[in-house]
Amino acid sequence: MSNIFDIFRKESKKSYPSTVSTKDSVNGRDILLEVRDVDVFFGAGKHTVKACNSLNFKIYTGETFGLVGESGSGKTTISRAILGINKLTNGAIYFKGEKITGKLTKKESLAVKSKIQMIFQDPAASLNERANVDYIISEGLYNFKMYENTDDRLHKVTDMLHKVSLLPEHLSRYPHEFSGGQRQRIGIARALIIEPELVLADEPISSLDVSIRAQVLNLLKKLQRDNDLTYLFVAHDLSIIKYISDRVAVMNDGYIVELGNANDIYSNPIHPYTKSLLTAIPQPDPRTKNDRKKLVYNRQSINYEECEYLEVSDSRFVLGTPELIKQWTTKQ
Amino acid sequence: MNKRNWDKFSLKNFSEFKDVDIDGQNSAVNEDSLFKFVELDEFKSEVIKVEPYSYWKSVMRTFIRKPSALIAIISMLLLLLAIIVIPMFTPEGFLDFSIADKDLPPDSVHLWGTDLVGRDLFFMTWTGARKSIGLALITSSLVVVIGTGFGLIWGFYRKLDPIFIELYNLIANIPALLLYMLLSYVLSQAFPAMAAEVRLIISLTIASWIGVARFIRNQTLIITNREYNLASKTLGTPPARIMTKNLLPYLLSVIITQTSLIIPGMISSEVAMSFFGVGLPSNAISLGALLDLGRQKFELYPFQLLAPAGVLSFIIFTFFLFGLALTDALDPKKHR
Repeated sequence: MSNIFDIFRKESKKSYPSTVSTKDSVNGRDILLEVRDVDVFFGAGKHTVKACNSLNFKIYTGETFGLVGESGSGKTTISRAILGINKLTNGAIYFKGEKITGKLTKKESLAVKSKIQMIFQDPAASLNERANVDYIISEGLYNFKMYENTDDRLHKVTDMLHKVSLLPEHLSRYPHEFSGGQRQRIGIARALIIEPELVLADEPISSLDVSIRAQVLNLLKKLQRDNDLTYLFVAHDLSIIKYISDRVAVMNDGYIVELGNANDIYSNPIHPYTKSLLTAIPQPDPRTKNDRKKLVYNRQSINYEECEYLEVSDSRFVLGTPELIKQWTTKQ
Repeated sequence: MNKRNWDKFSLKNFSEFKDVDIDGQNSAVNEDSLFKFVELDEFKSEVIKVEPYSYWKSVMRTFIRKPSALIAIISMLLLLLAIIVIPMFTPEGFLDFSIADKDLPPDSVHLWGTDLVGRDLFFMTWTGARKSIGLALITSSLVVVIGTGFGLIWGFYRKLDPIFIELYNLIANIPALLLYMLLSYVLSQAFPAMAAEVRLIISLTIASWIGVARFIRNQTLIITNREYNLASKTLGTPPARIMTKNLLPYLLSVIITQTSLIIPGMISSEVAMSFFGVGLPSNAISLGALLDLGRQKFELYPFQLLAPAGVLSFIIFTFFLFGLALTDALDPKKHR
């Protein structure tokens, strides 16, 4: 019965300005993407699934922002919300200071699409099986009319193929003729050929063979250097996030529980969920492995709805209450 | 086994390995000569040696390999040959009324006998079959093209669902034959000058397209949420190209299968309508009209009904067999 009165308790919907500043007032860095108070709920009434709850983060130009968390923590949901595939329940998302959520004209949403691209998790499912590589990679060029004539288009496509270490003779082949790593590189080429500024990599290597993960990761790093890309890198593998990210947000149950520089988080985790995640990283050395103490996180011990984001040190945020954080930082 | 036989296969006998000692008795073993340094070429490892896969080539290969497909191809060729060649060699006057020749049993002049107004049944049946198959092919292609187009739109734009579902209920809940009759009657009253064939095609198309549309809509719904369509949407691909490039190629095999099963259905619908007198007029030469005539004196001259009925059965059997064999061949999972 208590649910009935929820509607009265709910705060009136906040309104969000259509443009915001692109300079961070604290450290003066350029903000490429800003996520403000984003809620994404699925379903309605009793069966509401709260996939993302009041998410707040900024992605600075040129960095790699890692998003890590277990399955079902809302990582993919937020990255799809940025693309406009999942609709926001509350909040707003800004790209280069412009609001990209809510009502957009066709032209505006197309302009956003040309600047934000996605690399998908499963290269086998995300490539059109009945189209050849030429069409798959050219698709974005066709959509945004980014070529002068056929020669120019083919030139761009072969150039892109070379960048991802594929051969021009692959153009007439179909996706299922390639290996997993090659397919993922086709997916990367498709996303990058329209020269986006922000690339959302949704677990781009988790469905790949371990032996070629490094190859694809290094390719992503190289492309970032060459093309000044900004990545939002979603993964559930902490060691990979550590390798590639500058800043990391740890997600659990639809909340960001900890956010900060990758090194800080790895050397000094504060939130118990982060701690338990870090102890779960497999260790290749048998001597240290045996010393490792595995922490089990008790989700029931903390009520996220009562917590808020607290800045514990410079640009380091933890979801908690002052008492809890005191408890976490002192208890070692 | 004799040891001597093995000696000639020993590595010592091959020139490249002459200085290599297998048993370790000779001292001068140059290990470096065994190995050659190969430079790593990143691009060389990307080459695909397998011949490019072609969907239609493997469809053909799978199709030809099936025995039932072979039967279907042979009977289809025979059928096509029959409906094209036999009507061309119709002797003068064999398709005209002649009361003197009526109700003849099969003999050397009239191979299958004559009907109750004295027309030769052999040539009548095959001429009628040509007309029936022609009408069925035209109607089926119309139905499939219209049905596929609307089905794709219906499946892609979910907002249109309520409208199409009501339309579907409206059309599909009336018995098909009743609907054909009604449409045919309405059309004949509204456009008296319209040829009976055109009327037949229009009424069959109106009554059947929504079934195909619903089928395509269901198939579209299955694949429309796959990730590769999502990828196209994030790339900003317009809906029209998503439908033609992402959805249609995936649906092509089911569409072809569906078409090959619709054709025999259309033949029997045409026959049924002509039989009940709302299709082609009974003086027109079609299988339905022949069946209608043959029925009248079935007890006295059963062959007048059996001839067109036999040919009709053969046609429908052939198309069904062809369709079923094609269904298997078009499924890429069965290609290896």
